[in-house]
Amino acid sequence: MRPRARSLLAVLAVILVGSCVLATAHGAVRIPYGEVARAALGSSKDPLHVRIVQQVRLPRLTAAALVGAALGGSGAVMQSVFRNPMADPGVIGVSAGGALGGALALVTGLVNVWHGLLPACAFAGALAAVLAVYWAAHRLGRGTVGDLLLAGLVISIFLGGVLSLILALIVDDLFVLRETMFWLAGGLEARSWFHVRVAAGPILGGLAVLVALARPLNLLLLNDEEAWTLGVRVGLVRGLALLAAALATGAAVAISGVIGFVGLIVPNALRLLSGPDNRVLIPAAALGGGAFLVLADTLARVILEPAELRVGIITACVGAPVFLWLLARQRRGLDVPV
Amino acid sequence: MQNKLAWLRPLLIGVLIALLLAGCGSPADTTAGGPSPDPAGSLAADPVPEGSTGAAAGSGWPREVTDAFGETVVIAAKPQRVITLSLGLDEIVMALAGPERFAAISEVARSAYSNIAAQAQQVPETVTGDLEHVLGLNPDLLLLDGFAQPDLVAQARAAGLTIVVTDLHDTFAEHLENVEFIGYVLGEEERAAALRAALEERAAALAERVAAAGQGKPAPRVLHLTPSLYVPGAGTTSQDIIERAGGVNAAAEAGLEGWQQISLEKVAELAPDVIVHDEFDAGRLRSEILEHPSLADVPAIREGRVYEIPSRYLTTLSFWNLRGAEELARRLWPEAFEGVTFEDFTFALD
Repeated sequence: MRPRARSLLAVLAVILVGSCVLATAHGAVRIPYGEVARAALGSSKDPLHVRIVQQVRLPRLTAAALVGAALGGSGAVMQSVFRNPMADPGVIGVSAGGALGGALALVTGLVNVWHGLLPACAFAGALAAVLAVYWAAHRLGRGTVGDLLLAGLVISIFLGGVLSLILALIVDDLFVLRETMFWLAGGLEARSWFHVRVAAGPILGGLAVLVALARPLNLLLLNDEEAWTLGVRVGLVRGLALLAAALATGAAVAISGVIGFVGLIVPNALRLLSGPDNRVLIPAAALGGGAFLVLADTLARVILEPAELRVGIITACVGAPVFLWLLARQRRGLDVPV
Repeated sequence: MQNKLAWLRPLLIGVLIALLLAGCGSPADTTAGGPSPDPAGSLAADPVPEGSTGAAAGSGWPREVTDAFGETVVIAAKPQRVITLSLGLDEIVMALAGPERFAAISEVARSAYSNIAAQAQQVPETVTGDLEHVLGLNPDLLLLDGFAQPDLVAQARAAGLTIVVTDLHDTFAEHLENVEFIGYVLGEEERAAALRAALEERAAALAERVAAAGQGKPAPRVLHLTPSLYVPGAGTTSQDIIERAGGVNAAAEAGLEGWQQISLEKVAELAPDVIVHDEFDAGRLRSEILEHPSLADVPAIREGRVYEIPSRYLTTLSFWNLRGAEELARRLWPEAFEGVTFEDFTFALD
């Protein structure tokens, strides 16, 4: 790895750590910085501060970092696999499937039996959708990138339609409808260590696989035939990459709902700095995505203090202008390298 | 057939969510759905507007009212085929005129959110806002709330329907104003006056008992909590209910206005003495929020003062909110209300 790439990753790691410190220090309750440190270490004499820092802020920022990393890293891989800078983790149906699974847990009342069934259903929905996309592209089509893209699009639209139908059917159940809509909007409120524990494995495992696949994914950027002549088992690499990205993104959706823009803009922005080399881009996008979402969530928590905004509003408000800037940059001929 | 297909309109979802959130929300929310409603003037609180034939003739017909959208509406004769499209209006009209005067009632009126579900079964049809369906029922009055889509109102007026739009508010005092206004619109001024008097008497009795119970004691700090951590602050239905029950709305005390989302740490800091929720939120609230380790020291949770109040008393925007205040008061002041039971409102129409 080049020194420049190592420096980029180091800087992003520092930004991630810094954003986590910032997120720990700020919240709806004002706690002096020294007291925050003591509360984090468990040496504070104020039990309220200890509970707030250890049971509210730390699990929430950890969840934000994990979700951001999953979306950023997976986004980079999607853009690479599909050779399209506009691709994001939702392109293979994972967001639509996760949204439907989570909504079903809420609508059927499963979540009232045990709250862990909400992330479980969302995760199952995300994986089922990706498997359906993969099956459709390979069994009904020829398994090309174009087939995957089309299958992902069609199945996402179908799942979105099913979700709309379910929402229409429960339109009189105002409270269920309200909770479902809030969950679908994405957010990190009330995330606990439980959510961190259930999501950490699939996210970190999935990202590790993606980083390990970075080199063959680089070769896939050429085209399938050239990659094959260079010894890449195209189908296997692509399938593994999609599965790992689905695992990570599915787990992210399971604990946070659908949070937009992170998987789209973070990899694109970092690609401008790192270049298209996936060995740098994937870890960079994971670190950058984590930092971005931790910062966005911190802003969402404090900007309207004592109330808070949904983090999706912040990512959209920041993401949309950045995305438009990227489009303008492309139009001026400064093409975003993929 | 139309009725069966009506739920297929996903757009209705947005309207209902806005109604649920904003309806129980702040004055700012009240104006969000429509272009013109002015809370001060929109109720047309004076039921006999100056210059109207109603004012001149007293109880005569036709009569004029100025509605929440600022329209002067002429009501030709005493309405006999009324259609209402929101729960608060359903409940007020049911109390004033009974099921016979409805041509149709909102679907929500028959749901678990309604205080008049049984009476609503006696109304022949339910409607969801499908204009074609409404027109087909040939109503002589369509009563809408201020959250009604202006396009729908304009289209319905163009189709020749007599429409009166009246805002639904958050406080008991405003609900009483609405009772009088709708009583005038329906030609039921005497019933409206009687209902108002009965409600005022019941509210006064509650206030008296609450005042006695709270003598020399600090008012309990109450938080109305939902699983997504949205809480009602100042200017909400819950605020009025909590205050009438002799409590202090902890969210309003913290400076929150309307329905706002807060963080778990804010809930821990607010440390309410009492937490209130409804039956629909109970399962997820208990498993996901109330058992969260950060809230273990919250007095309401530590001392088991988490109470379920029926949603139909908290959600609606009508005088039925008074029942919510009564139920909450019983829980806030258990000793003072020991042996006291409250009955739901019953309306004996002649």
